[in-house]
Amino acid sequence: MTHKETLRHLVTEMAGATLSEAEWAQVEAQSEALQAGLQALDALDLSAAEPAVEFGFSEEDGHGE
Amino acid sequence: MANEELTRGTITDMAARLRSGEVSPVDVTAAHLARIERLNGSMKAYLTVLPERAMAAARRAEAEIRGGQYRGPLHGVPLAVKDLFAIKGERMTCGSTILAEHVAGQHATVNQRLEDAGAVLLGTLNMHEFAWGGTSINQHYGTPRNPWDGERIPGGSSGGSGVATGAGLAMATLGSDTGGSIRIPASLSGVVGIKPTYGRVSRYGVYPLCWSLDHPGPLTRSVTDAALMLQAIAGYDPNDPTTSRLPVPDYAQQLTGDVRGLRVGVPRALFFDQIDPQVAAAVEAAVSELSSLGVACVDVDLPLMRHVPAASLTLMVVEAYAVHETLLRTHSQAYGSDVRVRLALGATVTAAQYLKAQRFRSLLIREVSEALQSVDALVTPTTLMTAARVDEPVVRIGGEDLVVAANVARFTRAFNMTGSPALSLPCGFDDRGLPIGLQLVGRPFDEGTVLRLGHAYEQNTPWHQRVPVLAD
Repeated sequence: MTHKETLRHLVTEMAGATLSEAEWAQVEAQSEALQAGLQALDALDLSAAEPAVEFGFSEEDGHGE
Repeated sequence: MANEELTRGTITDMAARLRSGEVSPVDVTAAHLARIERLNGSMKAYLTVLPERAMAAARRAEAEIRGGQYRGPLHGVPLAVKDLFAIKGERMTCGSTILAEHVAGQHATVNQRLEDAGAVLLGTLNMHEFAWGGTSINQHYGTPRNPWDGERIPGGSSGGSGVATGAGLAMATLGSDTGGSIRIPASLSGVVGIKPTYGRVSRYGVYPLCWSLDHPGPLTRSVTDAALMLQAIAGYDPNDPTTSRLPVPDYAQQLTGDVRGLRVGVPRALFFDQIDPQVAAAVEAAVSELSSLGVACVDVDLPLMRHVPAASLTLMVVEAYAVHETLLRTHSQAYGSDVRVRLALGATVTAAQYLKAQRFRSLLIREVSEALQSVDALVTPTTLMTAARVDEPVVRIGGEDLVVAANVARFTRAFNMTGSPALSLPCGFDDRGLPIGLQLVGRPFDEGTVLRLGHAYEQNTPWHQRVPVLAD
């Protein structure tokens, strides 16, 4: 399956959304740019980085109590 | 005709007049409602106006103040909120026809706190659909008009909030900021806006765009007013587990005017490349002004900023898609085209990619935190351009064509990822008379320092005194 076919499967079949051809062109262009940007993150040392799904504020900030 | 003079000036000045009885909350509210009635058809700032509710609140405030029960500087002051802050029993559309008939079942905590402070809620404000865009171009309800040039975008997503504040349709407003949606309209519409630290202000009753990036906050006509508004809405809320239990300091007390000895960092790389030269010049002049006030201004390096666009967009499209998954399946054709495209993009990102962006976010938080160990705040432009025309999706800057919608949040979104407090305030006008915004970014929960810096700058510059001339 090509990248474009994968996008259409995910959006149309999995997400159930209907897009015009002009909108597909935007999704494809934005997806390409996003994939390139995410690939650039591989140049960083992410090995020690835990996902920041919570903020790194300290216990004293009282988050999540 | 109601006295339109009552729709100008700051909360700070109006509060003194209200408290002394020189001015009645009923008259101030009536003046605002009359101005809304006269101008909202063209300005498109409000989606719902609540005249009966507002006048009843104004009469209550008047009776309380006359009876000696003065609640504080927001007592009797007419305010308005972006149309994603729930007002119990009132329509809340989030700028979308999908929710055109939706009536809120409870108050957002921030609205409750404003009413507890005695404020008068005038209504709810226009916005980019579901807050998913930085222009406020809204194909369902019309685009709010920039007060400085009605042919131009007000910025977004809290566009109606910027317009109402700048155009005298409310004394101050609330907006929400996921990638810059308070600071961008503040910058492009010539008002003050503060995105507080993540967890400083409750998100309860605020329709989400992205849970980990959304920050509610005020848009005002002065830094002091921003401090007063933030004071009223900040603090722990048991209904929002991400709020902090840290005590809320007295922000207004920190506005001493004295900023000698403070240090600010200027991240020149990336924040001054490929921007409108007039914006760069105004921000450089602001840095010089801060320096003349005794602030040490040094260059700082934030090399990870170049990865922010991809990481930020990844987080935003995924979280927004998660919020809208069901509505997109059932109402995909009812969204505006731009929002539909962004939501669709969210369905194409993998879980591993989302977590890669979150891992990058950890590095970014560390980098910004380390920079803020040697300086008290960062100084940047808020936006790389002044307000673009509504019919101008691309602007040419530095010899390159830039898509406005993709670039308007370039300098703001990093600080949603870090959760840092960030203030935007006017720092000049371009040669078309369009406002330019200065961004000040502080350490977590140190809103006081960015407000103090912004206030000192404002007191020594004339920009906040300019008032837009509106065509009827």
